[in-house]
Amino acid sequence: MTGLAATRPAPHTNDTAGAGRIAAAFARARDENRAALIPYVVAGYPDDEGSFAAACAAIDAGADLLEIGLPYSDPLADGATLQRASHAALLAGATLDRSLSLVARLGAARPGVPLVAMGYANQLIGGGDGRDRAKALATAGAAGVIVADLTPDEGALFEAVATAAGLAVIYLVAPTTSPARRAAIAARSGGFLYCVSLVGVTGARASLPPSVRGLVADIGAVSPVPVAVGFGVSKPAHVRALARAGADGVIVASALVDALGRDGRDVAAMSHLVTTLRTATAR
Amino acid sequence: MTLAGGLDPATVGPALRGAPVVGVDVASGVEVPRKPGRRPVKDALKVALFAKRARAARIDRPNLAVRPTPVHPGLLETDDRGRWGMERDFGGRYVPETLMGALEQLESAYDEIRHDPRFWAELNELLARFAGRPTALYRADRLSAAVHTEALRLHAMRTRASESNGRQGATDDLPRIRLYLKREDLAHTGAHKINNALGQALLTRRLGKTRVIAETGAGQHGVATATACALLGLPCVVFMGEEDIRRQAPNVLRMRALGAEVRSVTSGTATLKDAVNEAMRDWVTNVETTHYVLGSAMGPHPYPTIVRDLQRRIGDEAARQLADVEGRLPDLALACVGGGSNAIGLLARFIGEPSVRLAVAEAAGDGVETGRHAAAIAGGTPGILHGSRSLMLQDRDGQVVEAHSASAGLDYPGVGPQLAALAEAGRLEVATATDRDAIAAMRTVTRTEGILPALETAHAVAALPKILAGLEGSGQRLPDGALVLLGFSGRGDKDMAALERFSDVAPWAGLP
Repeated sequence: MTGLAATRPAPHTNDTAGAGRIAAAFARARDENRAALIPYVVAGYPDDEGSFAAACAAIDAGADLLEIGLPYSDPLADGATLQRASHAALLAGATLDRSLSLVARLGAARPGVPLVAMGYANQLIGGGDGRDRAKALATAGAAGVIVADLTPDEGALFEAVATAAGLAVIYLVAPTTSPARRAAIAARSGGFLYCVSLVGVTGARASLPPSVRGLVADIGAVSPVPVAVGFGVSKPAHVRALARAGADGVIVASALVDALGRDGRDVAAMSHLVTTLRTATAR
Repeated sequence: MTLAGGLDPATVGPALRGAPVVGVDVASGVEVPRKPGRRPVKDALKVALFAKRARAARIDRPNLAVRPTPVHPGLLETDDRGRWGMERDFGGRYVPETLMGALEQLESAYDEIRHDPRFWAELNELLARFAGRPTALYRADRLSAAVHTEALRLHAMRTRASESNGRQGATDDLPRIRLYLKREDLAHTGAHKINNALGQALLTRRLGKTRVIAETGAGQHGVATATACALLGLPCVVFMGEEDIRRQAPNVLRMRALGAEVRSVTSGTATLKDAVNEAMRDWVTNVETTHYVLGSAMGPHPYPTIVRDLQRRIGDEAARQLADVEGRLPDLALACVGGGSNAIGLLARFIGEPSVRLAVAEAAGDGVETGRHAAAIAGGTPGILHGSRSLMLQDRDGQVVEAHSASAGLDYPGVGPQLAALAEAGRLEVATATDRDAIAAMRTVTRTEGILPALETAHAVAALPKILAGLEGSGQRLPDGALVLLGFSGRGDKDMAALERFSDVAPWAGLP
């Protein structure tokens, strides 16, 4: 991991326009003495209109940023809930073009909230360097991109093309990441740093591991960008604990997809959960 | 090929090391300085010196890791970032951050044991006493004859087809071959998979991990891992697609009898790729206690190297055995390929041997042209699957496309990165066999030799007459009496249901 600093592309992905918009959203939350709330919707789940409605409702219920999951055939970092939603979206005809349209529509309908796309390396980079996909995301209005199976070790090329397109590349750190590596990854991340709360895949959990407080503090101490915590975050109590532990943001995904119900259409229930989560972000 | 021109005792050594030739030609380089109008005169001392240096250079050339090699190093080993290929653009490590620590630990532990004779001594002992190695190298004369007849039939069919198009077809006879089967079906548990499973089970102990997980397609890797875990007293969970559990029921019962837990995977297409996904998810969750025994030469660095190193004894043994009986290397080495552990295991020994043609047989399912196949090299494109960049079946959005093959062990939409690099560099010939081709070959091998091959293995047999007839692979003609080494990866007891299903497919015509 010592080689990471040497391969850092210039200009830095944290200097992009996208990173600027993300930073502004975190700053607004911080000024209100709370953590930023980052809900997650799966593009095209249960269908295009359904995901647009869910995304608008999440924003209206208090989202500071919105993460948009690009459905993938082999989501190996995801638990049962997001696998199911991803699979259903693909069955319903989700494509990258349609996901990009969703991003563009949301950007027009709710311009104040930065949108961050999340996908897998083969969708975003595949056999090339990801240049076209990064440009398409930026053109659609995304501020940043998270690639679940891309670490800075393999990310330099994609980071360069995404940065050139004006996108912030957001990297992840995990509880299994060594302290030296955490600092190196944080130095490479743009917009914010995604802190994985637990050792495992995505999915709602009854409780978060007790170690997460220490993790948030340690990572916050070395990260030049805001730190948002995700994976397993599902209840107001989790959000409250994380906000008080010093997290700059919280990411809630599977719990919201669960709240949409088996058919993915209970937008009212999801919206209610976002509202209660937002209340819990206060420090 | 012979090297000629400008050679002398000073230059012959370096020249030989740099070129894949079998002989050298020299005249003026070993003569005394010529006087105008006089006949050239050889210098006895220069001749002796030239011969000595040429021979010394020849000793440097057999396939030893230390010698200069005529192939690009990227086809033999990764760089320090786990990348294969002439452009170093295959392989790597595309995984969630949670796994990076475990992969770094695995890499450094493997770097240690790679040079630890105690580890290899323990493994070799187990493989010899427990797993029955070395496996036999068997000359299959009746099958050779059947392959020849089938190649003639295919060739005649093509000739007729091209003549009806108004082109002149070749009418000469096809070469006869001497076919050697490397009998991995005779290894304990009935396939080559035990080589890797025992090695990684020992590695699990070295890593200080207490639980093993594995994925399986045909169930052979699952059975091998369950066996190794029973032997070493490790708890073992095997992930297997629901569809494969149905197709390979006998192996599921074997795994359970060995004390392993078989977890049915219902996500995605419920086959091998989804079993890998689910194993990765389990590993992400239990990485602190668990070692993932990956069964194929694929996945994130360093797995492709580890599995290759543990399987390469297939080809290393076969080369020694062939040297004993034939005194030379094969002209063609051929194996079936799914993820690639059996293929790279057989072929690794010969990558640096320019005289040996390397070929793989991919599963064409219903036919590559139908789109329902598992031919990641012949019909795939570069992409990132299961932790490494390689060739894979995917759509324009980068969604992984379902593979199709009656053979559960080959029913996988990707291929290991070293094989992809070899194919991309033109060092690997690719042939294919459909489900029906493989069943016909399976019946033929059984009738002619009394050996029931695994359906996977039968794909390699099925591809051989196509290669000999010049229909697939490089199209180059083999010399008459060519030595063909075929990786006989496993036995077919598990595939009786497939034979039933394709009961209308007959063996090749005109069996001896």
